[in-house]
Amino acid sequence: MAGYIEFQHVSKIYRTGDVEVRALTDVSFTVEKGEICIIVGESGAGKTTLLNILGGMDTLTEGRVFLDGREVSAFNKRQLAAYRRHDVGFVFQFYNLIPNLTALENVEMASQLSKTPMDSRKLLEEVGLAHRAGNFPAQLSGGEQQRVAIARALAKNPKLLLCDEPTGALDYQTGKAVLKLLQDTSRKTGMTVVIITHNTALTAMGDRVIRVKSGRIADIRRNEHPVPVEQIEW
Amino acid sequence: MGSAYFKNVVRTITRSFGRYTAIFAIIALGVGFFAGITQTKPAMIETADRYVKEHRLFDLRVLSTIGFTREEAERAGSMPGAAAAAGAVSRDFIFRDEQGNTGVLRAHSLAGGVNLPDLRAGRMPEASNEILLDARAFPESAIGTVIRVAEENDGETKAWFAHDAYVVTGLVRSAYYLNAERGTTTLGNGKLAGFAYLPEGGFVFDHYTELFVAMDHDHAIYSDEYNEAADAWRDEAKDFIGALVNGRYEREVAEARQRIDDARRELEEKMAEAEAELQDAKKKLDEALAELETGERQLAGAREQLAAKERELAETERALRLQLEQAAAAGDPSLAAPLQAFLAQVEAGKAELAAGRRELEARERQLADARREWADGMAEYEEGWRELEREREKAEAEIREAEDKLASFEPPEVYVLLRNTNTGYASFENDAGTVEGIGKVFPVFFFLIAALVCSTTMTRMVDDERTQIGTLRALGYGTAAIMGKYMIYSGSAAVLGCVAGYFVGIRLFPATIWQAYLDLCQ
Repeated sequence: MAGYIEFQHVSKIYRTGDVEVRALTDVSFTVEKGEICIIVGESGAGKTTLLNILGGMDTLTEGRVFLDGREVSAFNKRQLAAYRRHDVGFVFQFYNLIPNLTALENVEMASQLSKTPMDSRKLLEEVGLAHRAGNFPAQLSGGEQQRVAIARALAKNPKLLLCDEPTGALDYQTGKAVLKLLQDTSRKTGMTVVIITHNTALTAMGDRVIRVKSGRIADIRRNEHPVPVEQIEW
Repeated sequence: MGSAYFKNVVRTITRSFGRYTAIFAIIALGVGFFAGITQTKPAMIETADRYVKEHRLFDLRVLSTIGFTREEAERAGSMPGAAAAAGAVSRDFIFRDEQGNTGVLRAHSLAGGVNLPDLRAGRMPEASNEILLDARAFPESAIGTVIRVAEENDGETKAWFAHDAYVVTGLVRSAYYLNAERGTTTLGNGKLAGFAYLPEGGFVFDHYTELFVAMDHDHAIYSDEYNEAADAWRDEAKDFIGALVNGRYEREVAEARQRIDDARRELEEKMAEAEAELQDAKKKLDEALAELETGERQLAGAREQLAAKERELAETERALRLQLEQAAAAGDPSLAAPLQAFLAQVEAGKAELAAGRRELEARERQLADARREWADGMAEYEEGWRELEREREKAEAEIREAEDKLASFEPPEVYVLLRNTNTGYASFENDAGTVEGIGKVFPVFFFLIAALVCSTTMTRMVDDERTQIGTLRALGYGTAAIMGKYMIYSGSAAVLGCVAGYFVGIRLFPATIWQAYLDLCQ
């Protein structure tokens, strides 16, 4: 037991008036440090809820969540904000760059929060967008935007990179490039990456694949030989 | 929070500048209106204060039931704390200008040192038949024309004016008439068309009817300090000026009493003299009567003697005639001759007696004349007494009348009126208060509207940026930092709006309202 990420019997129930929606039921799994974990499932299976709980964006109803030995589920609001600030990097489906800031500034927006930031310009270079540093999101393509978003997520030098459908809004080639970037980053820096997707083809690239169905873990599988993204076809 | 955070805030402002400006503007408008309107009353009062000080509006207006003399007016200036004092008269009259327009003006005498007229056009009067007119009621073209004291004024009013026509030399405003209100009158339609200033020589008067005192002070008009100080001055002035006026009253009463006493004494003396004269006359009359009576008695005695002598002589004559007849009968002529001689003697005696009688009669007439004369004297004497009585009564009536008048000459009352009895002064504060009242109501609406606009705008903005808020949250920004963005956005717009609105409003509104007020007043 005692993995890097650890979910213990996590349940999440949304209450709206008298209506209860069970988003997660008794979810338990672990992820080791440096792993790429693919969480796969249908829309509405509870993937995003799971990710939000892990990222400290949402609270859980039952159970406990640990990251690197600390109990995330016991944090108060302040601690959660600090946790998001220092330990987690988010990558969203629609990139969510701040439209009023340039690519570089978007990255700085994150790096300036961190105690141990990465160099923003260098990060942009690494995602291949050094020449676009001064451009505003509206002047970037979707793939470029997503790469800026990844740079932004990495800028804080987090323990964990959480990606919610990172290729959902991208075309095949661009999506592939983004996934490759994530995979390369993980391999290069030993960063733990959790990727949510509904695309089962992507499971091949993960060290660990967690299949979620109707708020329950359907299957956890360890992939001894992950495939480089370039070789995956879908 | 680093530079990127602030860049984001600043760019949010610059890229939604219309929205930012809208918040700024609505707040500037509300604050400007509020600040401006609130500032208007103090500004109006300050302006009026400067005007009132510059033109030395009276602090005390003193009236007395017996007016004031020139000397009292001068001495009132030495009242402790007084800066200047001046006596004045004023009189309402119906005027007629060269075009035949009529109306009622209140003419004031130009009082030195207090209520200085504010000459707007023309020049100050130099001769007694020159006049300054209310700049609000007359156009500049009135200068040089003639204003008449109209025929329909009553005699008393006409008597107040030294001339029946005055030449207009200038137009004035006056701190005595601070606002548009000119006051009421008992003449004409009851409304004053305006005021006028005449040199003192333009009036005919014995005493000043009012006394204006300007005190040496630096209190702002309508301020509590001023009102308190004014109450104290009123009491002081009542004592000080009251003493002056009462002194004159007492002197005048004493003089009148002296005059009455003198008159009474004089009357007594004259009466005594006249009585003595009459008594002398009476003595003389009495003496004359005694003499007259003596004469009459003597006359009666003489008449009796004469009658006795006549009887005796007639006896003798009859006896002689008898003897003569007897002698004739006897024919004794020798006897007749002596008888005849004796008879002739009797005849001579008779003639002598007749002369005596004539003399007696003359004397009688003389006495009768004397008695008539006496009776006349007596009548005259009695008439003299009656005359004396009449004269005494007349003189006493006169003295009594003077005494009654003196008794009804009541001690003078002195009234000290403060500025708040001046219509213009009192109305002006009301006018300023009205503006303040508006200032209490209108800004509430402005603020409501501003609040509504701001809250709608900001709610919308936050709604628009929900994704960004989520992103910032995911990046690890705390609630305070995220909220901070919107607080800085709206707060800076509000603060800038307040500052701009305040500085613009505080200049614009008082100036505009004041101008409008002046247009109304002039």
